[in-house]
Amino acid sequence: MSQEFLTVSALNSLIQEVLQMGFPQAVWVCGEIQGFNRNRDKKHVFFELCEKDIKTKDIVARVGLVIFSGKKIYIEEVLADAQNAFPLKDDIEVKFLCRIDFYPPHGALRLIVENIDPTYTLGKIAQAKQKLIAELKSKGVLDANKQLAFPQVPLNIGLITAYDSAAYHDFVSELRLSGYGFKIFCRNTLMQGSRAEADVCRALDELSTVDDLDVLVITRGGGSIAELSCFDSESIAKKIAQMPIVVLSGIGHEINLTITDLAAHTQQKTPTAIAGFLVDKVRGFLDDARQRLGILTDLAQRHLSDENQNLKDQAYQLQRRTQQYFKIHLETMVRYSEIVRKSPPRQFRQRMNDLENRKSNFTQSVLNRFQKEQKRLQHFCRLVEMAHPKNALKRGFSITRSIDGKALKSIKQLEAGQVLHTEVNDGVFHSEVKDLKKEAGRGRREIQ
Amino acid sequence: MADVKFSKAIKKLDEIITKIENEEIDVDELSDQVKEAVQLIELCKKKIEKAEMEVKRVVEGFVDESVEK
Repeated sequence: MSQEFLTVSALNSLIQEVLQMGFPQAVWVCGEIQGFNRNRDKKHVFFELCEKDIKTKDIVARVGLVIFSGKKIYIEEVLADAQNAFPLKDDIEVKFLCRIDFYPPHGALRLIVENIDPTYTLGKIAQAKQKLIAELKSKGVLDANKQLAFPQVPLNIGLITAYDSAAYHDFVSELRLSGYGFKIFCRNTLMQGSRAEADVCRALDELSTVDDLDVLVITRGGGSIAELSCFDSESIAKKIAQMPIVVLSGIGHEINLTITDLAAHTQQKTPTAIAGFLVDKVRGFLDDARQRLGILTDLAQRHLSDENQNLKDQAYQLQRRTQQYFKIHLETMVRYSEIVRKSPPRQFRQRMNDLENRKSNFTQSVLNRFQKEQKRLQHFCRLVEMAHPKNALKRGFSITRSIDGKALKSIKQLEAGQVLHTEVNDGVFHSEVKDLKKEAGRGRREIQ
Repeated sequence: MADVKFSKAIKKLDEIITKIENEEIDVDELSDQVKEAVQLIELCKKKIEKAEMEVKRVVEGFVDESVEK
């Protein structure tokens, strides 16, 4: 027995048989790809899957795999069916359906890849992404840029995109369509592939030093999850968080937001949408300004028209009051005219009347005087008449005269024998004095 | 006489009219005073009418102007 031996080929064939018996069917194997990138262009792809210690990240197991050229096309088709969610490359976790094979010529165990389950990797990627999102969120990285106030008139735009790309033209033409005076400072940037992440970070750094930019825009056209996976980037997110101005992202994917989208202040799906958003902002500002101007104009006009009305009212009042004033004075003038017209003639008439009165009074008084005088005269007449001797003769008196015609009043004028003429009422008789007797106290002489 | 101020003219007129009304004026002077009063009344009326027209013109011009704005 000790002399029995197996040739290497016999041994290897035996091992091959044992393995085939032990693994009659293909098995699903999960692990992290290593050494894939180095032979990407080769016909058959040889690489390894390994398993790491969860804590130490040390490799605890590894196994070699091969994708034969025929399978390579199939695998790529499967991945394409999963919307090119990810490319096969180092450091990603994959789940392969493998046949366990032993290759006698090399004496090497190898797993021949038959199929791939992309959902496993997608799940892993999603998990990792969620983990990263949670971490960034807890550090405040995702909210930092959102804290910045959005500029009122975002006209100066720092643009991070591939110059002359469809995304660039969509973005620019949308802005141009608005007619507003947008200015774009474009930093030509790699937007896909392994170098995109670092280039986007550099672009952010560079644009942050450009003066007078209002916002930064990171945008590109739609792509597969794999193409956009470079934007699920911690470093881009952190860079955005450090930006002093608002960052907008328009990284075209219908379903999943990239971490770049989450870190940005505002996110839209497409370059056109981002441009539209900016246009709306400017339009909103202008509309608001126009509205304010309208309100201001209305207020001013209302105020002016109020004041105008006020002035008109006052002018009316002025006119009314002056008219009133004039009216009063004109009325006074009319009244005065009346007075001047009527009063003096009246006064003249009155004076004339006075004069007439006086005249008539005067005449009357003269007449009265005359009458009075006449009465007195009459009285005198009566008295005179009463005193007339004739009247005395009628009452029985008589007048005795001497011859020479003197009326005898005293006996002294007489002497005895003297002839007397005595006049009585109805004639004259002659007598002769006989005796003279003087009356005691009266010197009377008796006549016979 | 046209240079006399309205207020002065009115005052003078008031005096004359009061005297005329109260018959304080000597008949010798009455006609002269009446003549003066009539002149003053004419003067005051002219002044008022002129001022009123002027005010009307100014105010209307002002109102028209403010309507046009």
